[in-house]
Amino acid sequence: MDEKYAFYLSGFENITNRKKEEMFQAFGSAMSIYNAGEKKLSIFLNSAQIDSFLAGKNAGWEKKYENMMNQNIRFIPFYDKEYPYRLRHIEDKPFGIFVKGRLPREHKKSVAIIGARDCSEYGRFVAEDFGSKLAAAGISVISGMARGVDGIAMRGALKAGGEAFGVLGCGVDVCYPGSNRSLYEETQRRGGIISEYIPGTAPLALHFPKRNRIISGLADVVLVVEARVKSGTLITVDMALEQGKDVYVIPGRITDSLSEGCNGLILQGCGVALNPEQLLRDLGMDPNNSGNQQNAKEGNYKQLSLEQLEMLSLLSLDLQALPQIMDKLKDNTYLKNFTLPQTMETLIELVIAGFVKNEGSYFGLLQPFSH
Amino acid sequence: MFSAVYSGGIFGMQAYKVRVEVDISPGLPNFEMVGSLGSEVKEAKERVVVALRNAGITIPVAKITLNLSPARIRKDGTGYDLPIATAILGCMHYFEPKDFEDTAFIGELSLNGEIRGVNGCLPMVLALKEEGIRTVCVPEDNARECLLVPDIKIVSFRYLQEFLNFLCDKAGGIQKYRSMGTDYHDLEPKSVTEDFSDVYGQEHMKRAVMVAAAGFHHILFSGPPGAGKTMIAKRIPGIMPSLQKEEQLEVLSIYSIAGKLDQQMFSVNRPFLSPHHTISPQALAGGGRIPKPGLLSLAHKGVLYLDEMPEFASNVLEVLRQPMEDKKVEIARSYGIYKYPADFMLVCSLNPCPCGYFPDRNRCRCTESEIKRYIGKLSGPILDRIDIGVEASNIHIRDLAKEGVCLSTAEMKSRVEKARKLQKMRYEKSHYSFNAGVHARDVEKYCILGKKEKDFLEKIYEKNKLSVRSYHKIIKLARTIADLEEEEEIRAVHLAEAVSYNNGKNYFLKEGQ
Repeated sequence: MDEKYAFYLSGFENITNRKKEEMFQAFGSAMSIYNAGEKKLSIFLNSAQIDSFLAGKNAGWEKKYENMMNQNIRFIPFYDKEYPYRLRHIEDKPFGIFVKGRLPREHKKSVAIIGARDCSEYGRFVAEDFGSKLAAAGISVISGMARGVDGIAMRGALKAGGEAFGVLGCGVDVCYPGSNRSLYEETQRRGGIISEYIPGTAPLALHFPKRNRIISGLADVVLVVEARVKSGTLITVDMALEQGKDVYVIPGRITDSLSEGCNGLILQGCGVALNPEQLLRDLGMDPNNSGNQQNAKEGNYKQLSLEQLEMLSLLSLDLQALPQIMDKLKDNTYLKNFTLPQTMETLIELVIAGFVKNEGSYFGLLQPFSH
Repeated sequence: MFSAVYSGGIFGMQAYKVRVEVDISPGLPNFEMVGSLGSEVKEAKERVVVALRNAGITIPVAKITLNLSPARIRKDGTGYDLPIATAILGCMHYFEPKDFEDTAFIGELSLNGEIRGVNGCLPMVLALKEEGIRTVCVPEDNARECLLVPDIKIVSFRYLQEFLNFLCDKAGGIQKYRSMGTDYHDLEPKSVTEDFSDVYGQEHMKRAVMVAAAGFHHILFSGPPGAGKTMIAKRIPGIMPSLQKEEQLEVLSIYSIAGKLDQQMFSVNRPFLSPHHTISPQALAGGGRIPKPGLLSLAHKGVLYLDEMPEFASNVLEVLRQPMEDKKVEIARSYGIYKYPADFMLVCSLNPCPCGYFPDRNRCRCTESEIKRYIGKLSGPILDRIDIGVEASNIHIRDLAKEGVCLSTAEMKSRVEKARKLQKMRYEKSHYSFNAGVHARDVEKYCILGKKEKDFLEKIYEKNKLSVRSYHKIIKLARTIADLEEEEEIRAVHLAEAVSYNNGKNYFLKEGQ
């Protein structure tokens, strides 16, 4: 029953989490805070806060609470035993969290995969690869469900049959961004949507840096896929470092502005993640499942002709336009006399065989080529 | 006293013979004109009376009745001034009517007796020739276009006085003036200063352009600013085969009706029109109280280039849909439907995102939703009608430096012409002229695929989740590519190239993530 009053208290964004906690300690229960008079409240709150606190009582909050229950959203205040252990000791811990779906299991390792919204094809591939392989090994993948790396990593995890958790900067009943609707639905079923904001809260810009502390807080390890120098991703990294979490980084080319943030972190001494297997080993897990997949992939290359293999060796994960590919052919011993139509034919054959993706006049590898 | 002479009228692209009948009979002085006349035609009486008086001829004070037959068709334009004056002079016995039974007159009069040019002279002369007219008197301004019509005598005048001498000079005058008409002459190719050899690199685009020109396929360029999209588009008319005689006359007729015939147009080169993106739907399709041909029709048999396509208003782009399907524009007015041909090759270009550098993420900072919004301005139905999509990538500095290896306009043109010749032979017994125009039901008849090719295409069909329309488009495109290679059979390599072009355009239809 006390939860209901804690819910009421959590709705006030103008009262800090620390203050709410202090009040809870002093009053002993959320209900007594709710019933406290102006005088008692004035010990902790200023007059503006008191005014909004008292005025809120008549604004139909109980109805909101009922709605929340009907939507299967759970509210877990910090003193609840279900409150995630990982969040209990972080700086500015949420007074309570809202969950649609469920929380990450305490005994399972968890990794936060975060990165740029407008990621490159390289980032796309890496995010999906790590997301799926880590999840397949039984790790909870945590992210911000944003466009780009966040969403892709979560999708990868769900596709691999694993668990993914999205921490939002809005109410858990708000799907933001709207384009991630299917991911939002799927995550609820197979993992959970988590937020410290009461249901119905709009995705305001100021919420996002704050929710990052929950992302890093819930994770044992934070993995940065792609980040520019000035980005929200690096804010999360700062939070993670303050919380004492390990940060791993996917290295990138020094000329890519999308990798500048990552490479900078390496310079500062963050861990380097070269492949999911290595990361799994560092987490003390056995990465034996993925080894078999590697062999299976190599078997597939046997069906390809020499020209096709050479063509694959010229492509990269990044999408390249046909003229750029033609340029590369000139320096290849086997393919230097290939005409444009021949090149197109070989590429289309590789698309059909499932090795290459084709977006417009751009071609790129679906998976890194090693032969 | 009655007299009648012939003139020409025009409704849309349709020209017809008009009989101008005048009767001068005793009665209260009056000048009555009948025959569904537009306001310019009604004003003719003032111009004619004054011009004749200034030429020294006074019209008798009597009841004058004038009829333009056939009376059921609406008549517009100022070309009836000269025939009206002539018919009046006929009533006044200035000439022998039977000398001019196979002659027609076209021209506008000014008050001081000048004969001014009119719009649509060329199609009128063409129609009059079919109607059995042997000689046409035209304003000197229109002489050049009219001289293109074979087997008809053109006599041109600048002043009414000159014309009167021609009419009245009984002592062999007719013969003298008639011989003045220069004989019909052919158009020459205009020397083109823009050559494909100026375009370094971009061999991929050049090839695509060649395929497009060979099969009359619509094409879409995308790429960063400054990659040479406009440069290439401008050179496309240069590689298309010269206009055939009939095509020339059709194209020039449209320009004549639009009043846009200038020296530039007198060549066998195909038109190239590149409207600014602020153009209105009416300017594009044609319009006005008396509808004039729009840019779609002016680009007939040539190239319509829409640069920065997403910047065009969507209602303007939607106008393209019907003409791209029917190859003509129809504009309805209460007194009839104006039809103008519009069989153009659509070339359009766009940047892949608002800043232009996508997918180069080092330069492009556009968000996915910005890109979607930008590309989303193109409607699916228009993209669906485009066959080829190619990417203009930034040119490598290496390509700028190398010389002598890139294709020139002359080379490309000769290959396109060969491909067109093959198509002409293939479609001899049908109403088609190009691969692009073949209807889905005839694709299997004209574009035969072997077993291996069919399997190949089937795999692509499943892999790319193609629509049936795209499936046929790819086959037709592959047919053009095979024609360009002068090969009898469509091979897998041709299909692969066609698929690649088709995908190039689908890029823009793709949903993000």
